Amino acid sequence: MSKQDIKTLKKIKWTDDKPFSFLQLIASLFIALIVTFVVLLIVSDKPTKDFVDLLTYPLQSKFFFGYVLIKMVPLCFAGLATLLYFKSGLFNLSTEGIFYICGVFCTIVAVNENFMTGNSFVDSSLAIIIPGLLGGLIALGPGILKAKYNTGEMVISLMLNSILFGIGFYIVKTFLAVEGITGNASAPFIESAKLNIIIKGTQVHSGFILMLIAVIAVYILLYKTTLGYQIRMTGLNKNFARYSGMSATGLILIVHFLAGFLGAAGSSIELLGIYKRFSWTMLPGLGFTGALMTMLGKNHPIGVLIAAFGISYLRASAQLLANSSAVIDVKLISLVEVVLTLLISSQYFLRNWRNKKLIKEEITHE
Amino acid sequence: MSEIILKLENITKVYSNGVVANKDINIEFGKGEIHSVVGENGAGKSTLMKIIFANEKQTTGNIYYNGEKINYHSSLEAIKNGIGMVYQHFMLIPSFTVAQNIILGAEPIKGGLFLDKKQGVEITQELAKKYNFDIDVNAKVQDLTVSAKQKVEILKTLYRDAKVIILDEPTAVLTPQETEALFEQLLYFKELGHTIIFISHKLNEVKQISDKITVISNGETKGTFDCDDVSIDQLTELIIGRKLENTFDVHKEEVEKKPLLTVKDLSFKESGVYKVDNISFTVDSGEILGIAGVQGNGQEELVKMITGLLPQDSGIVEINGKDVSNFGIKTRRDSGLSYVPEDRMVDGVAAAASVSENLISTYYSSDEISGKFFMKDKNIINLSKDLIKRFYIRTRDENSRVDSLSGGNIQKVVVAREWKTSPLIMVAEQPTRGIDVGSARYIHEELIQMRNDGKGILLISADLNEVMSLSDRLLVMYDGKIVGHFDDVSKITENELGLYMLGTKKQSEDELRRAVHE
Repeated sequence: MSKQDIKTLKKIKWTDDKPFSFLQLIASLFIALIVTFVVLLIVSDKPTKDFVDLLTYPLQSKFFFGYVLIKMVPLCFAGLATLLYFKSGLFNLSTEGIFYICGVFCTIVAVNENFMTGNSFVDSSLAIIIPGLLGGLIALGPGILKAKYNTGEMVISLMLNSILFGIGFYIVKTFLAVEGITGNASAPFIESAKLNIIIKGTQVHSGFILMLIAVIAVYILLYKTTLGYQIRMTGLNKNFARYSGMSATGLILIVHFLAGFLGAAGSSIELLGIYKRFSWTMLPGLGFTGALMTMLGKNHPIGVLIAAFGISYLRASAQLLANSSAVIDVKLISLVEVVLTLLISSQYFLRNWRNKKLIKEEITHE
Repeated sequence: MSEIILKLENITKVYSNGVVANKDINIEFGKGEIHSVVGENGAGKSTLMKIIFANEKQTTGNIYYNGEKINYHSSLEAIKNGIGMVYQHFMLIPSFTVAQNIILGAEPIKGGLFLDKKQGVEITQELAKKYNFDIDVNAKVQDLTVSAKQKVEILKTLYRDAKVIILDEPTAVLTPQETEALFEQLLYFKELGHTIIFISHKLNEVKQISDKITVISNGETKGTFDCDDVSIDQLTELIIGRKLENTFDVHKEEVEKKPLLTVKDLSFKESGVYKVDNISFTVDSGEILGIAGVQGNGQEELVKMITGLLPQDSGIVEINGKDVSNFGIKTRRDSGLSYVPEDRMVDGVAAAASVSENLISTYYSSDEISGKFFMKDKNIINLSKDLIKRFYIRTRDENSRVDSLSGGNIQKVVVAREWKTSPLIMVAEQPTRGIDVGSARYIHEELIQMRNDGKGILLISADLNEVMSLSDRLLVMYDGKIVGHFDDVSKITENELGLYMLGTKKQSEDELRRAVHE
């Protein structure tokens, strides 16, 4: 093989599917940041400094960077749960409500001496797995409705979110709230149930590792197992899956259970990792954020991980800067998120460029 | 030379997925001529027509109409300017009458606001009379035959004053008799000064009707010819780049006859109407049983009941002696059934999945592919490579998305997968519709090979050529019933078959009973 051949072999063709979507991602990010900069130009006295701060602030100390890492944990879990739904062709947003009510379940376990053994591994596992299983069972509700009666899972899941929040908040107010603290907050979690800090000088807890394990587990489930193959084929073409002899009913139920479990586990891990007690008084908004992670992550578990990191980085940066800057706020990051989502989910973005390039190639080939 | 009404100049079309459908196409259509555009399926004819009709936008190049450069943004504009199109799949509202369908979107108005139904009926009646169409404008479209629906489509374009009428594969759904009638009609249009663009891949028809013929191959024009200057053989060579033999090696080894698929008294009712009416037949080992018929006469429902995708109202389906009537497709597949579905993009593949993922979907749970939880990636790769090689599937590799392949190669993926399950009986529904001649021929040879290996094949096709050249025995379906059974296909002619397909001829009960082997 001559040198020339090796060169042409190694050359990445940007018009191919995967490199092209990577290119789309980079270009989208670039445009989103330009838009942010333009907004800063309008609202800020020192736009350049603010902009650079926004992009680099979390890198300035170990603690700040650790903050980015823990903030990505719930984003990533919500993203993985939603990913499972999307991969099987279900547009279900119930992670939102599951996250809340399973936080309540986790609290019931984690504040109760009777459940706790004193061994921190056993106790944290219990406080994650019990709500996890309950979350899975709750998610089966819309699952059964979908599988048996073919109800629209999106409408059901949105209504379910409100119901779950209502029930959860009722439990908190009636059974868990303790006196002497403003708002409705539970008693503090028992120490042995809480997750350990794994990096000194930061808040990074062992939940971060659980998140990485979850990403790998979902990847293996989707791409290496027979079940994952069925999930993906059903998601891509329901008729085809049926024609091939796959049973949609069982599959829908399994997917709902697993997604419910992941959402619930994410909620418990968030609580046990960084909170002292349960004090959520509204829905966390993670149902939609989960969908955002899935879209930005191009429907792939590794993509979800990267998207969670990216969004967490920007959000954390904005949160950390919010105190010292007059203009930077988490809402500014919503702008980046919106522009990114718009560009990445658009099929037309950069398409003309790709077509022109393809035509050029076609002509030079002859 | 006649006046040029429509001129295509350097038309190139690239789809967003990178497929180049048309490359630098130049054609001139003369006024008042019947101009055929021929080429294989997937050669780019349909795309080109959609561009003329402003349904798709060309990537580069210009269109001139009546000498003016045009740049329509939608089909509405094209229609307004006198370009009409009749699609292969009809765009009609079944519950409306013929007149209502024709005037839809351009209704006569009275009092500035209200729909003038009476005038609508009168106008359409006049129109039908002017163009010699024998059709009842007050009939509902759902009660019409396929050829009558086609007439409605053509009248629709004429009502909108079409000067140029594009007909996309109009004869694909017609019997030989109906085709003759359509051609007479087209010649009359020509006399009246209309320009007809006739898309087809049936060369004898093209030769019979055209003034000019343009050949498209691989997205490029291979030239425009006067009909008299070019022979069918020459056209074939231009289209596929080589000569084509039209006969198959029908050499047949004798195998022990054994019923593999038995269907007894199968019926299916939809909104009170029998779509499938009491059908019985047997497919033996080592034979191809063909079912001919104009589309929409119950074949689709029959196949869905046999494969278990549609629950039957009554009757029995037996595969290899086992009654599977109450089981779904999984059990039927496990009993030895395989199925090449009519619409490959709807049922046959997951378009966004890879070639190898599509090659294993019907036996993914077999020991070769999966263990208890995990899939055996190495086996899947090897098996995919083998199938790609054996079936000459043209793809970059087994990881390419299946929708990056041509129609013919996608169909080969489907056939390869169904072949791989080592079936006893294969149901092949329109196995070569819309694919290139080379792939079609390869698939036909595979079917014959399977037959010779002692498998049973049920072949359902609207393509008379296909069923007649492949089948050992032949059934004709009309209006949900079997109306003809032929033990020896070589003894009947296409025309005779056409009469059965139209329902004008019907065999006696005794003759039909022979379709069932005890």
